[in-house]
Amino acid sequence: MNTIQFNGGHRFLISDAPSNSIYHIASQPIIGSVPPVTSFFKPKVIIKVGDKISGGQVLFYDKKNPFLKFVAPGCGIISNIKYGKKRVLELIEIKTDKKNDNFINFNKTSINKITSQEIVDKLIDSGIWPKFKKFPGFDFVPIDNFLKIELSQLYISLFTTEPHGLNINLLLSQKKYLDFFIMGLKVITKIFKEVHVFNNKDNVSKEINEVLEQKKNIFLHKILDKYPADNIGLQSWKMKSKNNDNNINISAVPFLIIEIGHLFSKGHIIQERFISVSGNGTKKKAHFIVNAGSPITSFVNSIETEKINDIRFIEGNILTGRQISSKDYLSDYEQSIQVIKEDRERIPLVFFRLGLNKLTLFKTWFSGFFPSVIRTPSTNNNGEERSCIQCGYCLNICPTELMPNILMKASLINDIEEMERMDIDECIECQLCTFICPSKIEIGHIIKSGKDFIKKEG
Amino acid sequence: MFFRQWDKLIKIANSTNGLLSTQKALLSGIDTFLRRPSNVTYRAPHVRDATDLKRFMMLVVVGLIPCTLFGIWNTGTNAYLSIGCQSTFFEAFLEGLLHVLPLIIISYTAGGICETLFAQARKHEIAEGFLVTGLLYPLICPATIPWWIFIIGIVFGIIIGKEVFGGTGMNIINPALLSRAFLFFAYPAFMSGDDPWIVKPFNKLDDGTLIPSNWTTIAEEKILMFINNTGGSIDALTGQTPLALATNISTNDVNTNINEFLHEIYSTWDMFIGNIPGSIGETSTLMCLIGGCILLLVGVASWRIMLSVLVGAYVTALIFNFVATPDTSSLMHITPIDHIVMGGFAFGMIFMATDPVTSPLHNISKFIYGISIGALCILIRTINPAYPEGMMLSILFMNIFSPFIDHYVIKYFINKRKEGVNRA
Repeated sequence: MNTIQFNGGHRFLISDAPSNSIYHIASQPIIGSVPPVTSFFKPKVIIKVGDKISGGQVLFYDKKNPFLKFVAPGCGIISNIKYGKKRVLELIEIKTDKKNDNFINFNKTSINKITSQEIVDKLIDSGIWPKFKKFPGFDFVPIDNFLKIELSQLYISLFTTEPHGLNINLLLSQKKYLDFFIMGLKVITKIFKEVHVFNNKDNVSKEINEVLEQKKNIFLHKILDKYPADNIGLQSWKMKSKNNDNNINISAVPFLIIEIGHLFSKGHIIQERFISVSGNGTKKKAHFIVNAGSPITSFVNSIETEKINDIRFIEGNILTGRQISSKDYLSDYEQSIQVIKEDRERIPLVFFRLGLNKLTLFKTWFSGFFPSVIRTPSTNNNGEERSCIQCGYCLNICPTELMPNILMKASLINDIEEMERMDIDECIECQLCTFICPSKIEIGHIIKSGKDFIKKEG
Repeated sequence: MFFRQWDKLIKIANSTNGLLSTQKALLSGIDTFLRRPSNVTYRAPHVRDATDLKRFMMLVVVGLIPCTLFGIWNTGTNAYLSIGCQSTFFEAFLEGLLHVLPLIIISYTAGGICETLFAQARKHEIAEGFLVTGLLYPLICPATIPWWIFIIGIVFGIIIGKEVFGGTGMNIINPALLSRAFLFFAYPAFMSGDDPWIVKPFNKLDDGTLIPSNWTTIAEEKILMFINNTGGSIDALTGQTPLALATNISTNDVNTNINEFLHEIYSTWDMFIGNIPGSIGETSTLMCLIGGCILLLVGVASWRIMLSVLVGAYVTALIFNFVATPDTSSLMHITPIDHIVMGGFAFGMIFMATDPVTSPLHNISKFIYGISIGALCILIRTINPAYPEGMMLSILFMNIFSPFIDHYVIKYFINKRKEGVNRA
């Protein structure tokens, strides 16, 4: 099998990785449901405080797109609905039953008889549909387009290159999860035109290989093992150069396939989540099987520090993740939690030093000459923001061969024509340009704001 | 202990409205120079690369150290030679230090004041670009330059070359080179000709035992001897630097070789090592190469620009060598190697042309930019002998053209990327 090559990107070697041990965390008395963080989402809450609900019951849906339903992660009584500024829904807290096993049953049917329309309806009703992400845009998958065109391609990565993502090999080495995964694969091959599975090595496990041989519309690809090889944007861009098709590209994480497999073999949604916890701010760097919506503190044991804000909790990886607080609940959109110590130390005369232990992609520090040594990440900004000096490092690291700093300038002046000419849609939001910028400009966010501007203007 | 007192000062500056608060830019500049700022990332990516612009610019300064040290020694050596006596290494270095160090200090102070004033007015931090400009500028000036002219130059360069455009990163031309170009046209007597290149030594001036022979006389005697032997002729011996000398050699005699004339005074090896008269830092090609190696090793400068400047100059000089006849300008006869080791070519190639702000962005445009600089430099040197130092003018010229080159190259590659995606 040919390895799909790409320029740019970087293989991050970062300390405090999660170990391969798995811990089971018991059911929690209070769980929470967190709405997705996107500006184009207006939730309509259809339950109120005191309601008794069962797992899988719809809590809220999107006003514009009613097919985006979000369901309860467990059963119990709604204890609190929290709104933020402008009455934006922030959190729904559920006081769980002791057993926490009352789930809505979506009748089991044999997958050989079921039609693709029925499968999609089931995925919508069970709240799984919003977990698919569309590219370009990293957005929810619109249902009308999907059914009309039926050109959609699904991308699944059986590995992760994110700095401390979930170990997917470990996830799929669990017998029960592997069974659900196989089941899920069989289901999704019925509704998507093509399913592309990406791996960083040649061989996949025997069970997955069987499915690959049975189904005609599922393909295995091997891709270079460096960040962000598991990003759908990069993968679809590489596939586009081969296929010459303007497909709708949809991404799914392996755990989503497991959820689908669970839904179709057991009849109700899966309650467990498989999460990795890593970083130098936590005592237990490992994988956890927890119930959906559990509070972060139920499985993260952060180290003790003088001040509370000396520890940073990140949902997702350290490059693209979202900062959360220790009081938050586990959301359904990321599979890993990073706990990092804040680095506010003021090192004297830092840039006269040799820099023997710096996380850097430049050779300006001594450690830059040894890229294969594991480094500790630091949350320090490592400098102040300056104007762009056109060093060109963002051009060299961009995995999709865009020109980030020119895109940035186009975004700053809201020049839609220029942005579209530069293929702004193909920015995969990997944040490598922001990471590497020596002027400390948030290039990635500026490009994102340009994308949002285009979306707003239509 | 020091930092504790320093923190107090910063705190007072931030809280009061008095004199100190007007110096916020200066204080925060010194503060972040002394210690890494404590600011942490507040959103993705939560981790940033350890390199910032301060480190970038610091490494360029490190790359300039060999040139600076050699320039100091060379200034001292030539000062002693001009009064006709030999000097030890330390004597020469000390002598050079007395002439060069004040210039470096003045450059940093005057430039720093401009930079701070503008940063204060804009309520920005002080940008790091001036760390490099402040050292580049004295190195491309003659050591004899009067201080008042020197100050006018750096103030002009910083304000007109950089600050009016919005500071480091926004400038379209290299501020250090602009300063020099300004002085070159405004005060030509102090920047060109035969006088400015050699300083008068502070020591031993009144020592009666020394023979008060002029450096020019030594060279003159050498040349006259050579003319007598070969039958060539020289119009006027006005130039001290190799380039000026080469300009003034006339080629009336078909049998004489221009290069032999030149090498009689300055051998290629001398020009490569750099113990010849000239601007403080740019005489030594060897030291520029050492600095260039440092820059390439740490990845601060672009090897594409350096290589293409070299290739552009070499090829152009070679072409001129082919078309040169005895009637044409004497500089047409100079070999490519001599062109490269002469004057400020190496210094410009390594430290000036590679300035990321004023050079193009795309890798391909870097090649175009570099080749144009090299070719233009030789063109100005040979075709227009009024300005023998073509490197300064060609770099300034191409600085203005670099956005233009980028515009078309990037346009081409965007279209190619689209085609590539659709076709392959």
